[in-house]
Amino acid sequence: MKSERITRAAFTISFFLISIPVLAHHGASEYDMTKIVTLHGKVTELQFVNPHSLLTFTVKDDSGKVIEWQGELPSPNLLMRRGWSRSTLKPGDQVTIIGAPAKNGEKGMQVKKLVFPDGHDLPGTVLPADSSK
Amino acid sequence: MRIQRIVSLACAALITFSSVLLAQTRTGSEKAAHTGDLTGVWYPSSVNTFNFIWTDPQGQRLDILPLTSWGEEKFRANHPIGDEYTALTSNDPNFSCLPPGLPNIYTHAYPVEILQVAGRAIMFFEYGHFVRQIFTDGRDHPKDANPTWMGDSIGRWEGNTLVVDSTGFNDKTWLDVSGHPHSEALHMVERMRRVDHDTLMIDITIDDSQAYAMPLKTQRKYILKPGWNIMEFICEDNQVGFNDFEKKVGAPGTKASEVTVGPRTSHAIAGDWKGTIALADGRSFPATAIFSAASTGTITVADPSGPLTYQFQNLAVSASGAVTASTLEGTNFLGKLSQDGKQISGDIILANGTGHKISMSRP
Repeated sequence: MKSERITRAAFTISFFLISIPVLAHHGASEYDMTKIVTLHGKVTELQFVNPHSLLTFTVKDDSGKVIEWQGELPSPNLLMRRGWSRSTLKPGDQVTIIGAPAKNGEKGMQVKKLVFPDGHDLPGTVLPADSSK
Repeated sequence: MRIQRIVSLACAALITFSSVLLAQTRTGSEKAAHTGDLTGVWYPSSVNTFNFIWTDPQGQRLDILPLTSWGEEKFRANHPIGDEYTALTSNDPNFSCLPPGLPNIYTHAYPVEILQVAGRAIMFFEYGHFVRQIFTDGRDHPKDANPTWMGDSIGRWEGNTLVVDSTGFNDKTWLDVSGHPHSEALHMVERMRRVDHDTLMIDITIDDSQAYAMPLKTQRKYILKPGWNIMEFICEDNQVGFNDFEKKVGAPGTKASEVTVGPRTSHAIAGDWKGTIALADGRSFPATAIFSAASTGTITVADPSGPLTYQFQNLAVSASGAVTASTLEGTNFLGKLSQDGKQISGDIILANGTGHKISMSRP
């Protein structure tokens, strides 16, 4: 069992090493996937364009200071098949944005998930499962 | 439903019978009618999205490809994205919106529609809207063809399998996202078949003696997506605006983000949890979790082929019940705690974007 576990772990790691990047078009190497952040933001703009969508929003920190962030999202094609539309986010909307921040400390992230005030959520940079229709 | 099935069976029998009849009545150089049906919109399975796992001709996995000295020199000049290069500094032709070519286009996480018309099978790729014609009318490759991005493809049916032979590629594309090169001598043979109604397998063999000391094999698995259409995709659409963002987040340096908002405690979910995980590849298994109040947690999946364990850190629950955590390998757990605090449902997302669904309750 132990050797199985090691083999499994080795396989997982090697698969991870080989298959890291290129969601849709480019990689995740700019983002620190080991530090997920949850931000409560106010939407400034959603650029819903191939090959990548881009969300700009502001966040108030604990001291009340307003900071601008940007979040990378997949292409509209991938998002629309997962329940998004171009009017999913409009300027002024309040939304919780969960994602992996830039490694270099800039206010940018790869968006993984959105949670809306009514509790429903939408996936960000997540691929559809084989079983999804 | 039953009538539909009977009609389908009758149609399948008729098609098979007609094909046999046609094959028997045609003579000389005329080809038999095709006997397979690969039509539909297909999406890459989660098991093989993004890159190829290469094997030797016997199926032994190759972590290092047997490059020739020509291939080695080309490979060294290619800078794939990864730890060393970002989308800004990589010279992967994909990042300049150049066509990925074949077989590289199979690594993109976009669907492909296969259409079959008289004398041709057509692959209509969503990524870049590239169209690949596979001529099944019995012709040969053109002599002294001018090399192209997608090459020249001819196919023949062996039962339900479409065997596609492709040559005539230019050498401007990479074989895969790891930067492995190929020459104009690239010869690719694919065997495309439906292993069941919803699953398409493509066995790929490439032979390029200028770049590699032996033929290489790999495989692609696609899932049928009824109701999907191929959508428009223009790679150049957002290059200018998005490049500014790339320059910002891709600039060198390592510094923790100054995030002074967001959850910091995992107290609300501390304890044991039990539930089910639906893996991205369609398999489901029981799962258990132990979360601590000190922002760590373990989710164990009872996969019979070997238990799979995720060790999470930075476990936190927001005021609205959003649960987040990550592993040192970059796998993320994004869940939602029910209002009564007794259920957690959410996704385990690997760094490559593949997602598993998990739902758990307190035992």
